[in-house]
This record gives sequence, structure tokens and C-alpha cells, in this order.
Amino acid sequence: MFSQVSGATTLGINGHVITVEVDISRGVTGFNIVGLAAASVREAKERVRAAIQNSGYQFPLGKVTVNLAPADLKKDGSGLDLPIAIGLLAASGQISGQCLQGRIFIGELSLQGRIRPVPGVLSMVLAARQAGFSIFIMAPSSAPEALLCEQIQVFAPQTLRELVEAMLEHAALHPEIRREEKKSVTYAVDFSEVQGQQLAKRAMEIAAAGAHNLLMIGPPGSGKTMLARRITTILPPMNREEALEVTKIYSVAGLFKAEHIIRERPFRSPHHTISMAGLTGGGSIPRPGEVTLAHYGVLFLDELPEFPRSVLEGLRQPMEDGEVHIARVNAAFTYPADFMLVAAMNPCPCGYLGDPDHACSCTDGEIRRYARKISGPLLDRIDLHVSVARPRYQELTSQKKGETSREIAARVAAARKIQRERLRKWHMQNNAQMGHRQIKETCILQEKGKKILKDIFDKLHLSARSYDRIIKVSRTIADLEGAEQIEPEHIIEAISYRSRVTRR
Amino acid sequence: MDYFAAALTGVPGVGARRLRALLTCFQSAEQVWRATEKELYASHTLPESVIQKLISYRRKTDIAKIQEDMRRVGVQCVTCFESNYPMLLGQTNNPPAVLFYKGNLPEGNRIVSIVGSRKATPYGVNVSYQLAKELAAHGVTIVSGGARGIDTEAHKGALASGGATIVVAASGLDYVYPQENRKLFKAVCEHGGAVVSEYPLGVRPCGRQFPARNRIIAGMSCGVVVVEAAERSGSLITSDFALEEGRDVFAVPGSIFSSLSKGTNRLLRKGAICITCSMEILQEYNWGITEIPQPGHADVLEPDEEWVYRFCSTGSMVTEEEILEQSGFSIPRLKLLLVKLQCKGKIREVRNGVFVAI
Repeated sequence: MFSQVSGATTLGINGHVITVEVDISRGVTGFNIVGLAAASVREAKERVRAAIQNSGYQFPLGKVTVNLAPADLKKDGSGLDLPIAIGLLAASGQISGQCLQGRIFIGELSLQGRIRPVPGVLSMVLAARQAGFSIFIMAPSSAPEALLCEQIQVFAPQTLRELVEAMLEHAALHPEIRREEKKSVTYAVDFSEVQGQQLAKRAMEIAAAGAHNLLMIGPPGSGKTMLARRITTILPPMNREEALEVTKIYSVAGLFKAEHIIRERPFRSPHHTISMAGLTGGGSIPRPGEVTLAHYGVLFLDELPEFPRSVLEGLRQPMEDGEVHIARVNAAFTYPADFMLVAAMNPCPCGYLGDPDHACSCTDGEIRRYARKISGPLLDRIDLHVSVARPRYQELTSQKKGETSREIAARVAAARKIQRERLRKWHMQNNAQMGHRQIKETCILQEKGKKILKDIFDKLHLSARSYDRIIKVSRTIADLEGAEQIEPEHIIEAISYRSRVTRR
Repeated sequence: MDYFAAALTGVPGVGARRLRALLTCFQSAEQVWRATEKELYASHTLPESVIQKLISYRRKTDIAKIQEDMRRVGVQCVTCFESNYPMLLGQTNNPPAVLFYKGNLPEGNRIVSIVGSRKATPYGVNVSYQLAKELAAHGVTIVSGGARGIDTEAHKGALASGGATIVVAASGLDYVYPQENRKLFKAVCEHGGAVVSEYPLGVRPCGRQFPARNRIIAGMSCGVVVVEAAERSGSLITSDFALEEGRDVFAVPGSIFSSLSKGTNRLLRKGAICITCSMEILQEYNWGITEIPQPGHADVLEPDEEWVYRFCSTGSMVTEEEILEQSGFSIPRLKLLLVKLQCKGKIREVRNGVFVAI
């Protein structure tokens, strides 16, 4: 006897529809799963056997063979338990094979027969809908996640028995109802909570407006981390496609716990002991790393020089391409990684270099070694460098409230809009993505600006490689003001955000 | 070139004084090298233990290899009996018997050394650079130790006006200390100056060699300018050597609150010559211009620039955030003022976002 059921699994962050074929033939009793199943899938045998029996059905006698097609795709995870169990019941004639068509079964089984949720449901549903499926059966707690995808029907029985009874038409199963989608974006933090730090806040606004990467340099306790945590609150809100993509990534990574789509831009701050695999994604079937989890959001690296150099080098390619390529023996994966890098460091190992109140106890050599830990090419990709001074007592206790994130976000959104229109020709979203060619075409300096720039370059001994970055940043500053042309004062402000990390 | 003399500098227990005695006694370094044990005893220049060391050193040392090494690194040497040995140095009490050098040794006596703290303040850095630049423009060769801070600025200043400058190193010339000055030392050799040392190749920089090096700095020059020095400072060792040799000691006055001016201010109280501009040194020696030029037309500052400049001139360093808060300027306005003042050379950004008036 033979039956065929559809299930789904994830590979990387994308879902795949899996056809589960079950055959029961006469012979010595046995249970085999073929089709490149990982250990967690092969273990399904025991769960499925117990679940069927404990739900009050017959586990068929004879030689049972389960084939997972396509056979060349590696299947991982326990989400195939449910389709295998259903396939067995159909093949042994306990339910009709007719009612299995056009449906996708996703879920892990408990020995008792309960249906459990699995990670990555959103990816699976998106892939299955693309393949033409519209009816899904899964665990109740997975249903809200699946329903983020439109035009589908989701049934969520608690147990295998409940499902089988419904299929035998002994009981009715009602489709899950879509909940009202959350439209508003709420963050737990706000910029108005930061006292003082006008200059750093300004730099953050510019960084957010042009999606520029940002490096903050300041002594311990100056509020670098506090500022960084608030940068997502001033970024423009994500549109639905972006939100869905982010939710999908979090779902696959098993980090999606909420019932609503993720509307807040992600903020990831890995500790500096992170490994290369942790940052870019790793494993034989790579799990998304921090760069992917920060997709459309902010990757914050506190204590930048403490990160292993090799790990930081691994950031260069994703920063350039907006995605990360990971090659493994069985496949090559491409994960999205379009993030904004915000980094923080102390000016020297003891942290007090240039601090008016504390003496720095580092030697020149120590300071240089500290700065040299960050590679030049990485620094070249950070457009804005800003120093963060320790706020003084008066600033901390002042009653003056700073601007709220909402006010800043409005200006940022306006600037982003200008950029999108200007860069539409090249399908770019923001100033940070501009290459040399776009800069040449869109950032035309007037004679006066050129002259000022030349004077300052000569007087302050700026390097030629900082030129493009200064122009990009001045373009963003001009956009924030709504100015058509880059004016000298924009250039001058941009110059003050140049890199001053001395590595020699 | 006398490679035998170069080789003899490596004998353990033989310093400048003993080596000079040996060379005087045996006429030439080659003869010292070839002298028999008996001749060495007869010369009464070395104690017995050192003679044994010399003999065993001779046995295991290959002159050809020393020659080859020196050629490879581009190092030359001169003994204190040769005519191209720096004259002022030769007149001192204890000149190095053999001086190794890369580049061109100074000719004539228009030589001044500029020394000071390694952890110089922006004030000291500016003074050092400015003095060296102006002196070098009048054909004065600037000698210094090549260390961080004041020394480095002095060499840079001299190079800036195309003058010759001498780095006196405290190690063999195949070591560069401090490392970050590698390019600077190369530039010094290429622009008519030299890096000199009394140590043969392969000698690492080590603590006790620095005071000994200071005696060469003092010895090579007519006078020593101490720009900034703490109460206990290597620069004061240099000025002591200068006094012993009867050379002039100049000191640049500084703030009485600055710990790095304590040493210089004390020198002044003890009678060092006070230096406030390069002309005063030139006048002291009658080198060229005798008239102190009137200060030129100063840059006129706008009222707002003046405000920021005053704020920066309180003596300590101020952060951009403080200026912003106190002034009430908008951020772009403040940035503009700060850049303008930097371009006019009125203030300097010592660190990211930390300013100080010059």
C-alpha cells in the first residue's frame, strides 16, 4: 500500500516543499526513512510510532519505507514528523488518501500525540504558497506566524487524534483566523532619554539619514552603548516586504516568539568573543549569523578592537554586497545581510586618552597597537567617525529634555525620500550605497565648495582616500536640510566626521 | 673606511675611552687587531681580563662579515682621529672613538640640538617644530635624539625648511627606535642629514645607552635647547652634559602649572638662557640676522571665531561638546568656526573632538 503527503522543511533561510511517500509492503517488520534525512529526521521513526499508538491508531505491520523527495535535498528538523505519521495512516488505510492532496503538514509530534511547533514555519509557508499550496496544517502556536502570509488557510489541531478525527469527518476543524496586523512600531527606548551628547546625536542622525556606517570613540561611561541602542528608533520604518523578510530570518533562526510581524528594525550587539561562524553564519547547513539577523537593521560592535581580526575581516564582504555567501560541502548559501554597522571603541586601552579629567596611562606603542587591531579596509568602510565625550554632572542633571526619536525620525525619513528619488536610476536606496560613479554624477560641487575643500585638504593634511567619504556624508547633510546643492558648510561638517584613528 | 675600528667597538669591556687609548697607542685599528698578546700587555691600556676578552673576540670575529653587514645596511664609520669626524664632538671630554653613520655628517659648527620630553604637550610640539624650522632655514643643523614628542618634531621642523638634521640613535643603526619614525629617519638621511650612533650594528636599544647617547647630542652642538622637560627628565641629562662641555644651555619657558615645564623653568632659574624665538639663538651666536623682526600682521578673527579661540585658550584642553554647550552655536556653525580656526593655525585638534589653542 502506498500514500503520498506533502510536508515542508527549511534549507538555509528558504523553505522547500517535501513530498513524503510511504510504502507498506509485506515482509519483516521494519521502518526505514530514505532521502538524505538528517539525524533529527531519522529519529522521527520513534516519535511517529509512539504518537500513532498513543493516539489510538494502529501502527502498520510489515516493511515500512518512507521516501523524502526531492532525494538530493538535505532535510533537517523535526517538522516532517506529522506528514510521515499522516502518510503511514493513509498507507495503512486508516484514513483516505483523497483528503491529503493540496495540503501541507508541518509539525513535530510528541510521544503522546501532540503536535508541536517547529522553527522556520514562515519560510516554509511562503515557499509552499509559491508552489501552489494554500491549505496548511500545523501546531496552534505556529499558526499566527504562518498567517503573516496572505491568501492561505491554516488549520491548527492540538493533537494528531484531533486531526485524524477531522479527516474522518467525525469532528469539525475550523480554520485559524487572521489577527489584526500590528501597524505601529514601538521601541522600548527613546533618544530623549540621552542627556547632552548633542554632537553624537547629530552624527547618529546623519548616519541614519544616509545609512552610513558609524564609529564612536569615547572613554568608558560616555554613553556609546546607550546611544547605539537608540539608533534603530530613528531609522525609517520597514515596509511590509522588508518586515516579512526579517520575520522569516528570525523564524528560521528560532528567535521568533511574538505573534506579530517584526516591525521594529533589528538591533544586534554580539559580544566580542563571537566566532567567525557566529557572525557570518555557520554549521554544515549554516544557521543565519549576526550579520543576517541584523538584516535591515543595525549591527552594533562594542569594543571594536577587542574583536578578533579575522572575524572583523569577515565583515568586509557582507558590508560591500549586502549579503553573505557561505560555501559548504553540500551547497552554497546566500543570506541577506544589509545592515548598518555601528561600532564603538575606546580611544586607547585604558580608555582615558584625551579625557580632560583623567590621565591616560597608556604608552604610545600601546595606543598604536590598539588602533592597529582594526584593519584599514574596515575603517575605510565606516563613513562617520565621532568622538563621544563623557557628559558632565550638569548635563546629566539638566531638566532640558532632548528631542524625541519621533522628531528625529521624521527628518531622517524626509532625507531618505530625497535620496531614493535621486538614486532611482541606479536602483539604490541611500547615499551610503553610492559608488564613485554615482558620486560624480549626483554630488556636483560648486566652485566655492571645491576651493574650500581643497584649502582644507591641504591645511589639515587629509588623505585622498577620505575624499569620497567626505562627499557622501556632505550629500547626506545637504539632504537633511533639503538643500539641492552641497554647500560649503555641509562639506565642513562632513570633514569633522572624518577618520582620525592613527594606526601608524 | 676603517672596518677594524668598527669591529673593535664590539669588544666587551672596551668603551669609548679604552678604545681611544688603544688607537692612540697602536696608531691604527688594524694594528690593534693584529697585535700579539704580549704587545697588548706591554701597551698597558687594558686590564688583563679585558685583553683576554679582546683576544677571544678577535678570534671569533670575521672582519669581512662586518664589512658586508655595514655595506648591506648602508652604514659608514669614522674614528675620532679622522678629519671628517664632527669637530665639536671631537673636542669633548669623552667622544665616541668610532662613530657609525648613515647619510652625511655635518660640516662646520652651526649646530644646535633641540631636546625635550617624549610625552610633549601641544605647546611643546609647536615650539619644537617652529624653532627647528626657523633655525634650519638659517642654515643651522638640528641635532636631536629621534625619540617621540619634542625630538621627532624638531627633526620634522628641520626637514620642513629643507635643512640638515642629525638623529643620534641609542642603538645599532640596523635597529629603528621608535619604530614609527622609520620613514622620518629615512627622510633625514636623504636630505643631507644623518643618523649617527656610537654602537655597532646589532646592538639593541637598551635603557643605559640613552644617557650615553645624550652626551653625543650635547657634544655635537654649540648649544642645547630644552623645550619641555619634567622635573626628572633625560633632557636634563643632556643639558648637564652640555654644561660640562662648556656648551650653552637654552630653555623655553612654559606654564608654571604644567608639569612638563617644571624642568625647563628650573633651568631658567638656574641661569639657562631664555629662548622665546629662534632669532634669539641666532643672535647669541651671531649667525646671520641680528635684528628681531616685528611680528607680522596677525590673522584677524571674526567675533565668533574670537569667542571660540578664547574658550580654547583657557590652558587646558576643551571638548567640542563643551564649546557647543557654552556658546549656543548651532552644530554646523560651530564646526565651521572650528575648521576655520584650524586652517588659520589658531587652534589644534589634539584628539578626536578635543581642541587646544596654539
